[in-house]
Parts: sequence; structure tokens; C-alpha cells
Amino acid sequence: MIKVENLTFAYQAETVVKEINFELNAGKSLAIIGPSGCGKTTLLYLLAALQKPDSGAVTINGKNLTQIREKTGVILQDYGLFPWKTVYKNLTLGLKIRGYEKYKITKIVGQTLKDLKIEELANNYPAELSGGQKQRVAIGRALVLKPDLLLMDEPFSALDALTREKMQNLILKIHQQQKLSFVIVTHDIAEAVFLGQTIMVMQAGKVIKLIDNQYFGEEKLREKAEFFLLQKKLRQLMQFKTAGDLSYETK
Amino acid sequence: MKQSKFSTFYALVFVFFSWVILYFWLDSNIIASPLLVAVTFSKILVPELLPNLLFSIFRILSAVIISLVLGVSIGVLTGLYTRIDKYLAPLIYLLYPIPKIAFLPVFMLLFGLGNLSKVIILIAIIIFQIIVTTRDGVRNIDSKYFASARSLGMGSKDIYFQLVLPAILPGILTALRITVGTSIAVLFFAENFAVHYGIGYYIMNSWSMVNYPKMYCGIIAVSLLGYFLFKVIDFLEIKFCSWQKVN
Ligand SMILES: Nc1ncnc2c1ncn2[C@@H]1O[C@H](COP(=O)(O)OP(=O)(O)O)[C@@H](O)[C@H]1O
Ligand SMILES: [Mg+2]
Repeated sequence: MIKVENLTFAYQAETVVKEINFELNAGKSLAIIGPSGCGKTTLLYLLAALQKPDSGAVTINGKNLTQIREKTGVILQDYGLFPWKTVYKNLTLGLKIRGYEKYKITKIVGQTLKDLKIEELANNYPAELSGGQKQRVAIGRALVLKPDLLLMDEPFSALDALTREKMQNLILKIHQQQKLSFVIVTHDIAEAVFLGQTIMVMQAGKVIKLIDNQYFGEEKLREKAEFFLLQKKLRQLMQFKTAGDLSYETK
Repeated sequence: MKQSKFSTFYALVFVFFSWVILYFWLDSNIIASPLLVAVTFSKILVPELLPNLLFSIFRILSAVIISLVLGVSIGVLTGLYTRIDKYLAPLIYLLYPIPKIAFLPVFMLLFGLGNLSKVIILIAIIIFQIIVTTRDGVRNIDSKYFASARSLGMGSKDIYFQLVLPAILPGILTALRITVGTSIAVLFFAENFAVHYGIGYYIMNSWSMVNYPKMYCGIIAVSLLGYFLFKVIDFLEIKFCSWQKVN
């Protein structure tokens, strides 16, 4: 699905993504974890073609990524919903741009609102919603486009613990039902273990470790010992690699 | 709605009583009797005031619409593209503070004595406010919305109409409110030169003919004109910017 080769990107003088290589097969998931400022968002923007690489390449389904892909859904760090559009209008936007017929838009958006249990919010503005509700709308806005790849940038970091777990379950369910590949950027270790089939540990623009997570997708994973063991391993790995960076260890 | 009707009523009562007090206190025919003015007003509203008002409304609305179309376009371009702003900003900063009304004779020389010169001087006054408000509004749009728009696959046309315009509309309406007051004042002045219709002309003409009741009727008409224009802007705000209220 995704193939990334020697991907490098710099904002002016500061190189923030350095020689990154990895592959993600169709229907799989990848969690990218690392301290803030390590280049996670930038990497995701490169995968979304919101930024152009300075060197290296992103290939999706065998095609070199040069412009925004129709079938990539993107959920940005703080939702990116348009405050001047109602929930319903926010969801229709992507479809309208793609020239869908009106009755189709009504059908798809109606179904998505129902699936995400946000029907009664259709006529509300984003400012009237709770964090979890906004997050559902943001997911809905990406899903109406029937993406085969979903890119998410710390989508749940502003949510309380319980809501966050609910949203993680929702993403997992969608992934399993629709065979959707996804990449999730997070700084939450539990989230990386729960949602990453592969877990990529990043630091200072580089990939320092790729971990295969054999427990991914297991029912009630959160209640199992393996869940915590893998978290422990990940934590040790990140602490070891960031030795000397006290600010991160105390977080 | 109830609240706003009440406050309008309160404003009317306030103005009326101030007038009555002044009338009895100064006891001069320069302050016309409210009662006499009210009677005159109802008599001349349709035959005299309305035609004059319509001329003034026509001039203001043409100026506002042209200023909006041009000003918003220029403002969006300068707000989005720093290269354009680099050349236009100094020009705008130099021209904005000039008291354009002083150039009315020049405008009349260039654009004739009729409506055109009046409308153009109004545009010259309104447009800068619109340009500057639009430009700053565009610059203040959080870059996350642009990333969000592009991630949805929006092209430039969609970005203008679905993102930039809705985001700056509240600011533009505020700028319009400020300019409406200015426009009426300017129009009042400009309508005293070489025109025979317009509420500004009507007021000054009544004044020079020492017909104070008619002059006050004209003043009331101007006040109502302003009230009407403000209400139109309020209506547009409720219709298109209600998302702001929920924040
Ligand atoms: N638009 C930008 N212009 C310049 N530097 C940026 C920009 N966005 C991010 N950076 C810098 O790039 C680095 C990586 O940022 P980012 O990808 O947002 O990290 P993360 O998402 O892991 O927190 C940081 O040092 C940040 O300051
Ligand atoms: Mg980030």
C-alpha cells in the first residue's frame, strides 16, 4: 500500500524528517510514536501530500505520490472542522468537491451520521460539540470519502481517557469491517500498542525502531498482560533512546 | 427579538424627550416643535422625502456593492499573496488617510456633476476600510483550515468560497457597519453640490429656505435610512454568521 523510501524534508534550514524508510501493506495499520517535535506531523503531511519531500519518495499503490489522493482520508491534529459549517455541511464538503450527485451525498452522509451515532448533531456547529463529538465528526468527514487509507494526527489526545478508548475501539472496528489501512500519529504509548499493527518509534526526524505487534486487534487487549508488557518494552525503548533528555522521561 | 424591539423603543423615547426638553428650554424656532415636525413628516413622507431618500439609497448601495466586490477581491489577494501585498500595501497606506472628501471638486471635474462622481467618492472612502479588514481577516485564518481544506481535495475556487469568504465575513460586516455611518455623512456633504435630489440636498435646501420643520423631517429621514441600513447588516449577520454566536 504505502512505500516510503529515503524520505527527507526540511523547513528552511531545519531538517525534520531524515531518510525515512518503511512499508505498510494494504489493510494494515501503523502507529507512529515519538516525543513532540520529532517530526511526526511533518511525516504525516508528507504521506498526505500536504507537503512535498525534498528528496526520497512516497509510493501509494505503486504510484508515486505527487498530489492529494482522492482515496486518502486525513484527520488533522485539532480536527480541522470548519466552524462556519454545520456538522452536516462539514461532512458533505468533500463529496461536493468530488462532484457527487445530490441524492448520493444525502445517502452517504446520512448513513455515516448514523454509523457514528451523531445524527442528532447534524445541524449543530462544531463549537457546540464536545471533544468526543467533534472527533466523531472529523472521522465522519474522512469516512464519507470511502478512503482506503486513513491518516490521523494525534486524533484523540484532547479526549478524556474513557472517551479516548471508545474512539480507539471505533477506529479498530472500522478498520476490521472495511479493511481500511491507517496510520496514526500519537504520543500515547497505550494508544500505539492498541492501534499499531506495526509501531514506529521516531526520534529527531529518524525512525529508531519498528516493532511488530502480534497482539494487535485482539479482543479485550487492554485487559491482557501482553498489552502492558509491550507498553513496558516500548517505554524502555523510548527512555533508553532518549537518555539524557530528562524532559521527556518526566512526562 | 423582543429585547431588540424594546431597545429600539427605548431609543425612540430617549431621542424624543431630549428633543422636547431642548424645544422648551431653548424656545427658538431653530428647534422645531416635535408635534409640528411629526405632522409635516406624515404629510411629505411620500411626495417629498421618499424620492429623495431613494436617490440617496441608490448612491450608497451602488457604492457599497462596488466597494465590496473590488475591496474584498483586493483584500483577499493581498492577504493570501505576500508578493502582491508588497506592492499594494504602501499604496493603500498612503491613500487610506487622505481626506477624500476634499477631492470632491476633482472628482466632479473627472466624473461629471451627476451621480457618478458622488458614487465614486463614496467608493474611495469605503473601499480602504474593506480592503484592510479583508486582508487582515485573511491573514488571521488559522493555517490548519488551509491544511484541512487541501486534505479534502479543495482547489483554489473552493478554498475562496468555502473557507476564505466565510471566515472573513464577520469582519467585513463590522467594517460595513463602520462605513455606513461615514457614507451617510459624506453623502450628505456631497449631495450639496450640483444635484437636485438626495436627502442631503433636501436637508440643506430646507435649511437655506428657513423651513425648519422640513429640515427636521429630512434629518429624521436620514436617521431612518441609517437605521434601515444597520438592520440590513444585522440581518445578514444573523443569516450568515450565526456560527460565531455559538462560540
Ligand atoms: N510550518 C513550520 N515551519 C517551520 N518549522 C516547523 C513547522 N512545523 C513544524 N516545524 C518544526 O519541525 C519540527 C517537527 O515538527 P512536527 O512535525 O510538528 O513534530 P511533532 O508532530 O512530532 O510534534 C519541530 O521542531 C517544529 O518546530
Ligand atoms: Mg504533531
